[in-house]
Amino acid sequence: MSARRRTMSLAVELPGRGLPGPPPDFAAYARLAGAAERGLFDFVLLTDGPDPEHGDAHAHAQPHADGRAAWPHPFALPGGSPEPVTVLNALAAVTTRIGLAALPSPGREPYGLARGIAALDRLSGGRAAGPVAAGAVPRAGTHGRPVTIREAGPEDVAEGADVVVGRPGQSVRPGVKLLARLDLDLTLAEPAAPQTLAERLDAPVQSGVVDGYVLLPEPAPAGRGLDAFVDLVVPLLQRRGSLRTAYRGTTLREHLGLPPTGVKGLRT
Amino acid sequence: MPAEPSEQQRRPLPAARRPAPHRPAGTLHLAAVIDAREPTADVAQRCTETALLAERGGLDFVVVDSGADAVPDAVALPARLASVTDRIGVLPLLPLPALAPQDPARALATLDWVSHGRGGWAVVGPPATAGPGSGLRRGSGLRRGTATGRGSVRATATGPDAEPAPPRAADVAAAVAAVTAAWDEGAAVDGARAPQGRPVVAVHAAAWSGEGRQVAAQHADIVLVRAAAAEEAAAERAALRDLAAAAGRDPDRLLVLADLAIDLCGGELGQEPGADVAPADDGAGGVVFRGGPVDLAELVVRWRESGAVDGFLVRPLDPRRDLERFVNGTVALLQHRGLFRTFHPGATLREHLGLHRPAQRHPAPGPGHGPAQTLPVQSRIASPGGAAGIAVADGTAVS
Repeated sequence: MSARRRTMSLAVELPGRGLPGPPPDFAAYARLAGAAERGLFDFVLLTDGPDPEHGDAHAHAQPHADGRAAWPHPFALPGGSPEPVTVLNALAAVTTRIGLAALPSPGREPYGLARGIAALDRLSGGRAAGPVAAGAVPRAGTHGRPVTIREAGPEDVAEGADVVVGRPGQSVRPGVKLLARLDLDLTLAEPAAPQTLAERLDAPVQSGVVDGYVLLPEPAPAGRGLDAFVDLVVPLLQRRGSLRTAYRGTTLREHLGLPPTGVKGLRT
Repeated sequence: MPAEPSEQQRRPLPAARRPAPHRPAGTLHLAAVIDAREPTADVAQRCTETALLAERGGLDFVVVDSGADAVPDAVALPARLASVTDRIGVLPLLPLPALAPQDPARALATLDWVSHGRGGWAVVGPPATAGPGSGLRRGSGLRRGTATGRGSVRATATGPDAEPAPPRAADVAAAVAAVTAAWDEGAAVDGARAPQGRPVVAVHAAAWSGEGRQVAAQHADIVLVRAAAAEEAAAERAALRDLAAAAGRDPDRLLVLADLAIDLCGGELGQEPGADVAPADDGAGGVVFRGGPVDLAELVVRWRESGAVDGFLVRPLDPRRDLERFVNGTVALLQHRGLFRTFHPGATLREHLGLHRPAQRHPAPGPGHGPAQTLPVQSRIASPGGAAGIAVADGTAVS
């Protein structure tokens, strides 16, 4: 046997920024989360709409600075998109293992948000992740403090978090999981595509450039892009020994292989 | 798509039949409080079972008390319950927004979206010092006023050290209106919207030192009253309907539900035959009913037939035992007698409540005259959740 292979973390970003076409339905979110859980992903990630201050549906249709596609802003709720923590609570009820991560807009009132993440963590049995400020909530649940997650910024190393969503090779503190965002465009016309994708995903993980990926599935046929990934690519990654074949724990902290935190405020 | 008015609807009502305090209302509405304030490890499971039981009983909605003062916190469990139920309405107990109405507006709209139109908002008054009956939480079986978390609301604190004064009705009403307006603004973009168009708002008449009446009259869909006797409830309902009419609203769009703690141990103890079981003051500003499920069914029928209330919000003192007896005993009996639905014919909470049709323009009544003679109750009876009703499920109230 060669040296022990590194296990990859996988996550899926739900289209908080919206979908083209008809308004998104919660059932579509539930299907995506279900597919991700079937694929033994670490967590689903839900972000706020691009600009909760402005409701203009089409002002945000330009691509992001990093070239990532930005879909037209579809969700005509106050704030422009579903409130992530509320949606994750609903998803918690229809999933059993997968982690539930929220990256709300930085403008959110931090204390209320922290309370929300703590409630999600409590109700989901330790599956929540939220922004760094939210981790400082005094009311930690029975599962220790929720996992912290943040977008990579220019400051990079300065701020601590358990998980950073950024790009491969980004500098992060030791022990911090770096997940790269990746548009999932699985063209299945080519028979070799799953194999190629599995290899391309695995190499940076094994070389330590990145710990895993946040996949942005092709949204149009809801869940299908992700379903194909789970059906075709996940088994290949498992065969390579780069992906778990079963959830070993119940909490997100365990899925990510993070060290447990002290259990504070235990109340059962 | 409002249906053509039927012949009966076109016929002007004789004066004697104008909406009057004692006229029996339309459909009977039943709802229950889920007490989730104890954050035990199994709280999600326990409350899920309770919500499913309430849904099996055909109840209109559950009010979920998470004991939370912050928005995402208070909506967490309701969102969870919404995604495991199919029909029943889910109302988080949620304080008034302190500053930004967008926060609760967005969370409530998301709840409505997750539940496909079954969300609502039970507006909580500031707890603790605001005087007797300050909010939904006070009273029997529920938390007496306790510490206020950050993010709770003091709409009219007079100074940094001042004891928070109960907000004036106008302040409360403004806050509720701001949340509703945020929904309306959201609905203006792109055609996507929270399914119900407007949140279903429930307010306690006794909240905010009694100013809840005014708030309810102006903005609520459901108003909760505490009464130990049918006459008392009827008087309160009449007063609330008058206030709603005075505020330019159709009083039939304000449902008056009796807020009743229930202790159904009486079924085991055995009731004296013929004993008239009446609710009693619980000593904490609330009203508690102690007796058997059959006794409670009889009370529901008595109050209903005298037009005292449009329905009941029950607070099971023992969540497991009392709700089960309520659903399997009281509700089953009411269903057997044809007095309560056996299933949810509609999909949204507004449909369950008969409030899904756009509000009709309601002219302010003249002095000494009852409310104008609009006929939403009749039309509700004419098509209870029928296809026509569903088609306008997301109709926004005209204002």
